[in-house]
Amino acid sequence: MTILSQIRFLIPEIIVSAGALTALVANALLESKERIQTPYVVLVSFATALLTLVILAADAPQKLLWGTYMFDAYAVYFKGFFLVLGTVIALLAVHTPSISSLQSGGEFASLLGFSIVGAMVAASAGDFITMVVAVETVSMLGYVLAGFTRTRLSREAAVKYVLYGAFSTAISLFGISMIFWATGQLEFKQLSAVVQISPYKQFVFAGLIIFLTGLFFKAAAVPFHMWSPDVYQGSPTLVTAYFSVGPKAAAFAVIGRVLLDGFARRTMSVDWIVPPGIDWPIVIAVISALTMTVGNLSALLQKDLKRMLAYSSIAHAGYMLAGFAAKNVIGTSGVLYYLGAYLLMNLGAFFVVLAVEETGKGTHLDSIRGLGWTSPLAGATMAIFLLSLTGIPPFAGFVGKLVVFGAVVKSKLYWLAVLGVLNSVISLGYYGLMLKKIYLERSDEQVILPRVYSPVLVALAALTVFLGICFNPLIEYTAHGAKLLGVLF
Amino acid sequence: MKGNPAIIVFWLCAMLTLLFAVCVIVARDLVRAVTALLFALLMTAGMYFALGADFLGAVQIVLYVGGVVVLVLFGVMLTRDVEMTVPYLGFGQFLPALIVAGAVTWGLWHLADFLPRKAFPPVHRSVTPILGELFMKKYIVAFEVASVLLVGVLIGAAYLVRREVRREE
Amino acid sequence: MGSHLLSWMTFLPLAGAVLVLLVPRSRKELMKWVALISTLPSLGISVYLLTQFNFSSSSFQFVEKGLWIPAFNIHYYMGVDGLSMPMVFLTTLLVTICIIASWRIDTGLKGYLALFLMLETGMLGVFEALDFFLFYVFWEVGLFPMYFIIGIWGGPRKEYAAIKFFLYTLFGSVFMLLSMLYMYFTTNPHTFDLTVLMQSAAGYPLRIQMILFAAFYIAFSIKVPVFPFHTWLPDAHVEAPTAGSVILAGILLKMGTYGLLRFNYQLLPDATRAAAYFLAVMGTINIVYGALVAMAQTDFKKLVAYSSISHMGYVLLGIASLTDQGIIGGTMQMFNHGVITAMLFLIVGVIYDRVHHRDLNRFGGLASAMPLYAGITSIAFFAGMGLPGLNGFISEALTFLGAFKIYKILTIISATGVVLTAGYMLWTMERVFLGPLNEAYKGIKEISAREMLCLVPLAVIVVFLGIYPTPLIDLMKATLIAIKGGVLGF
Repeated sequence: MTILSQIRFLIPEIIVSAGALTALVANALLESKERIQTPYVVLVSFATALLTLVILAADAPQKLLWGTYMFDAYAVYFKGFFLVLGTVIALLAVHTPSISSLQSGGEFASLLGFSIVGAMVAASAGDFITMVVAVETVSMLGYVLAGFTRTRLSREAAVKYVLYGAFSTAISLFGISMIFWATGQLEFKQLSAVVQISPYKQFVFAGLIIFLTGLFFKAAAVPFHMWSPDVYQGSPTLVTAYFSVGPKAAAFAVIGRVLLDGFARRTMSVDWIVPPGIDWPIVIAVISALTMTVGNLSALLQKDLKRMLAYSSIAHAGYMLAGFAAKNVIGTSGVLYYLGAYLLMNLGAFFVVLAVEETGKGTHLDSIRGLGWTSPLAGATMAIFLLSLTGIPPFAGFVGKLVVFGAVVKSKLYWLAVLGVLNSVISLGYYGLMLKKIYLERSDEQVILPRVYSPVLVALAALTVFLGICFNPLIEYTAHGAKLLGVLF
Repeated sequence: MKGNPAIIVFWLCAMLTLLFAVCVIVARDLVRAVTALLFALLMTAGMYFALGADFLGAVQIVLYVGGVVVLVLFGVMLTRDVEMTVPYLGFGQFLPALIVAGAVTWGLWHLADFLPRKAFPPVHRSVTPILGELFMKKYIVAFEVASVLLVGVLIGAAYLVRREVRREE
Repeated sequence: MGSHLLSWMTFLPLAGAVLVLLVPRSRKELMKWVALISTLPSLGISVYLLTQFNFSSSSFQFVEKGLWIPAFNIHYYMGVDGLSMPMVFLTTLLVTICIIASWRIDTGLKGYLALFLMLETGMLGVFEALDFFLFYVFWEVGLFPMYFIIGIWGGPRKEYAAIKFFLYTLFGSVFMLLSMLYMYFTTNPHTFDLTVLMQSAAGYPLRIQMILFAAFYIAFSIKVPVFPFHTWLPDAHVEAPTAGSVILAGILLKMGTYGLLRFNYQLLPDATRAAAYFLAVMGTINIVYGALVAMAQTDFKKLVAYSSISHMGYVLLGIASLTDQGIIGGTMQMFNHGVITAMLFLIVGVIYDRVHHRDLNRFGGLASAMPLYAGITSIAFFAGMGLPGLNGFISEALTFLGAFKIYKILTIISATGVVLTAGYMLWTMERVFLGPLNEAYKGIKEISAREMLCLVPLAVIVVFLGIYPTPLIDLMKATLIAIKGGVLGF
């Protein structure tokens, strides 16, 4: 194929980039009153990109541009994921007073759009160079978004994010240089072949761990998580909601592809075979165990909703990592599915907090007191999100946990499975605390949701329930996406 | 291996980079720290040249040494209200950092034992044309995404430094 | 087959819950009627199923099976046998009664009724599910409605009680989840189908069976609750609203012993044989400990709560004996206790609604003020004591008959529980009804027609099964003997 015909598979990214630029131009041309609407431009581009993605998905899998760009079901799943995320965030950017009152809708929209482009490319990256640039795009634009409201807290969050982000990128690059030194390969699929026979396994393994350390920073895995509660708390809540899902999912997309494509092989058997001497599953398992436990225990101590949800999102990263540690198709498809469920329930929970914050009540735990009575819709949907986050059926979060822990049991990592389910019980401690505030306590203040919030919350909650009951199509697609990793084609 | 001037230059640059990097952290005065940074970056460029990556070396000088650092210096000198001195790190923060750094160095040092002593890569021809071709072919996505990144960052930078717009009623 | 009666029975209450949510907030009477009417079809179906039930078969009846999640070979698989049928009937009956008993709830009525109906769906599903995954979903679905029912409509320490209930039960069930996953991945082809697992799981070596048994045991014994996991129960019962207690004691506790019989017994026969003595010991501890603690209570409701712990001990002792009489007696006790304890909690509710306290020492002489109430209460109390002619007697006698053959000493110790039970029950009767009437309660109102409507059907069952228990025994016999045979290996 010529380069031009291969570029066809980049059309979704191109559309979003064009949308982001248009939003910027529109911002300059419009009156300040109308600027609030500019995120709609990028929203339309997300939707169009999603449409083209669906059409293009029929031609997957494709190995494009000399192996630097993979257009497989795994990538398509993540791209779709990011587009849905972008759509929701863009929609709320218009209707969240604290963001729209800045009258910088165009900047917000274009930053969001470029960030999503980065994440979409990261999902497809077939080699280290493309991957690094893509992940950096997500991070860099994240720094700006963190400081978007330009309040003191927001600026502090941005600076903190920049420092840790730059640091983690440097670490990752160092690891990559080691891997490259020892193998002479940057392409994941080629790497898996070279690593098998490489005489410098220790060196490669060390490089991999150093590389992963950088990504663990980005995914906020323990013990590299300390930046995230501060950044999550300081950033504007809408941006926090985006951070807790977008960059995290991008990091997971990359971790999955590097590990399963580059450092494992899969033939006819169901499980991945890890090259001897490069035993990354145990590393992932330990990090996973640490992440879920520390995340949950720290969350128990929080008094601020945003910090609590920040630690909760750390804990969820831990559960998801367990799926990679299982190194079987069920585990990886479980991670993908879990991310989908997490998108719904975590965004939902953050949006409820955001809605309450917009009424001027702040983000302290007490701000949601009696929410179930003052705003039945917000209360009921929040209850669904919280129960789903805990892992109670029939909600999507339960299925995610079931599949991930099932995969862990299948690969006989029983200690990790036991730890995982015990963590679910611990997490009920703080999710239950929120439930208690919402329903078991009373408040007289009326809460009026900002416009558009009601339908968004209802849609997210409905999908959370739907994916908890009819999860077959999605789980089959994620399994389909997982299957091609580590396979040469 | 012996007698290759490139090796000597490489080691010299590497050592100096480290030295200046330490200076950046230790310096209490912001201007001095930035100056040390400038030299550290310059020495990094020297390492690139020694390894035959002339294009990378040139980029390093033009971008970091010429662009970024000078800008930072300007920024530091133009902003009056910024505290010019940097507080010392406490021992409590310094010690763990030292331990982690020491452990990593020790680990890497020992890892190097597993490697054969490869010959210093001889570089005869310029890599610039190859790089250009790679960016236009194999790594076109990375190249394009980098431009997306730069546009985005530009917008962000413009936004962040812009004076707060007075909110209209 | 093909009629989907079980599905209708299970999911009509859920549809009712949605309907209740759609009723405008101000139309409270309408809400209650919608809720009541939506429980009636389920009750009707369960009665109809009882008439259609093949008493001589030990296999699952009215089976429905359809592929639900092909990717994991999960089926929507429902059916009932002699073990679950009585519980299904009891569930539908008690929920209907609970809705009537809750007629005077006022705050958040809509949510309350909707949660109750959701709870019914969850509970029925637990007793009917034949797919492990489906079972687990129903098992947990029963959890959060109860959390809200206790937490929102409960007494002064409701928040503590509600979260304690939730945490305990979730803690137990996650171990069940892991065992379920283990069994799924070790059968080939992977399946959650209980009827298949019943064949294959028996093939595990004893060590594995014991681990799985322990995991299930934790899950189910928390629900029963077996000592030392019982501490959530008094809190939850005392704080829950009347109807919540009725459901809790009448149905949710039975889910624990049902789980033991369905999962530990049917899936892990070797481990069950090995652990039978342990179960019997735990049963004995429950009987005696529960009775002793009940004796020390001055809170009427707490007393009934501890009596539940004691009575659930009979179930354990009976099924642990692995004799025909024992296992039938124990399982009958599940049903009988469900009826009796429901009556007791309703009775406590009646008096609490009038005087707003439950302190046994502050009553007295109520028999003269409320003769009808005293009469119906005495039926429940005598049944609880195991007086001949009432249903409690039959199941306790069968339990002891069966257990005595195997565990002589334990049975003798347990028998002291009967004496203790008689002691605290009679003492309670005396404190509430006999002696001079407390001046403060001169004008106390007699039990109302609505309250009688709740209690009378249960009293009829108590008396009927006490005189003529054969239908219940016949209903369960074939299944239980098959279960026992499976455990003993013939």
